[in-house]
Amino acid sequence: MKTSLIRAINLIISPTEELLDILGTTAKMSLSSSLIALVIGVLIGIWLGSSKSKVKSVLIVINRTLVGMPPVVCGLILFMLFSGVGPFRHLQWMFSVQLMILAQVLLITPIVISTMETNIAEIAGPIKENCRGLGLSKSQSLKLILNESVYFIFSSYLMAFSRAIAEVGAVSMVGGAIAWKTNVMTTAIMMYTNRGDFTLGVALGIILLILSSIVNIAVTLIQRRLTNVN
Amino acid sequence: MLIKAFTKSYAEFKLTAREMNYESGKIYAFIGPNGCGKSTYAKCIAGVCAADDGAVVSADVAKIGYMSQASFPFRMSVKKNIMLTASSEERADTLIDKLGLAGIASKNAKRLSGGQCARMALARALAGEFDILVLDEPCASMDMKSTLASEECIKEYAGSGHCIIIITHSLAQAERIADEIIFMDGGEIVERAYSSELINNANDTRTRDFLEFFGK
Ligand SMILES: Nc1ncnc2c1ncn2[C@@H]1O[C@H](COP(=O)(O)OP(=O)(O)O)[C@@H](O)[C@H]1O
Ligand SMILES: [Mg+2]
Repeated sequence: MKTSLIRAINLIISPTEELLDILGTTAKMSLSSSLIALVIGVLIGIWLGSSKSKVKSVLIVINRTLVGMPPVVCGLILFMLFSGVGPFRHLQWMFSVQLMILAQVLLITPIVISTMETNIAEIAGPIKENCRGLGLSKSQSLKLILNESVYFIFSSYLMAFSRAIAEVGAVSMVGGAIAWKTNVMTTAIMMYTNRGDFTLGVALGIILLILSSIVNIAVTLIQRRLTNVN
Repeated sequence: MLIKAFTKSYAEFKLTAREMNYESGKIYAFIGPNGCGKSTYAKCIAGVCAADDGAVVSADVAKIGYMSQASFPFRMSVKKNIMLTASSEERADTLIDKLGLAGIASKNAKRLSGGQCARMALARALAGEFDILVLDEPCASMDMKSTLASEECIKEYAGSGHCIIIITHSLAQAERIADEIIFMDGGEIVERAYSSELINNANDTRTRDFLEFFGK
């Protein structure tokens, strides 16, 4: 236990090629998926939150169920679509980083939509009322809504990113944890621990913990800022 | 300027507004107990909320502005908030001066106190060019000094050929600035008269009962 901790710290200080490759793949996957999810999620979230209609409330309920979708189910669905028997097999995305990104986008976008929708719903009514009363145009009110929600956008991005970096179920199913190709931090921790090789697992675990603490601290600070401002 | 008769129903409330005529250059004060429908009337005529069957109430009036009872400070400086509606920077600066906002003009509007925010919101409304400007309790959270300064600005706005409709819970304020007072109760416009006339000899018993609270 103690020796693997010391070895793990040594590994972080002077990382091997393999560790760097795992970190690179993780960064590529998490940054891409969280950014894609952010753009889609913010737009849909603002649209859903900024006014009420029956269609929208149905969509909001559907989105809430998607938020709760277990990652392995998401992995299973994509596996069936993209593997040798699925309709998208000719794309040859199985066990690729693209498919891992797609899986994460499917998992994370509903979370971004949900946080944006809830936050926008709170402020959109009063903003629209004020804008209409002051005779401002629709595009001006949209700009003002976006301007009010920059902190929401930023904190939902960080939440999306921390989910992406920590997720394991879906990415191991569709990525296959192939060394030097689709192995990311979480899947590597599982793989090496199963083999009884703790050093790399512990090193990755430490890095993952540090990263998610930084993100969490950032989210907390933003939330504090938000409550101060309002 | 004619505002058509209309109705507006909520689950447990119905507003029945009769046709009203307002003149430019005049100030009209709406008074009445809480929940009698003053804000609802204001929102409908300003087009902020649709009357029953979605009817637009003020189609033949050029432009109606509305300052909400819950004014929203946008996340930008006080001056930028006012510049959203102001026709010129000069107009904004004049209002900033008169409403005592000069010291906080570059402050983030989110950080204002209740009274400061109310003054900013009034300046933002008065900076715009509206044929009718509806002010929903603009002075509710202001001290007396700011209230009097606000009343000066409101009178000036009316004096330059605009019509002002002000909702207020202060009968003294209505007396100070309004040409006519309109009394509402239970979702109805009960009575409308010149200020002193309504205060001294109201026709309707409901109006008299309401005024009794003020010792009139
Ligand atoms: N959006 C709404 N939904 C349901 N009821 C409302 C809504 N807005 C106002 N009401 C009701 O309409 C009545 C009149 O409200 P309002 O016009 O705000 O009164 P006032 O401004 O005269 O105090 C109140 O009983 C209030 O509960
Ligand atoms: Mg009201």
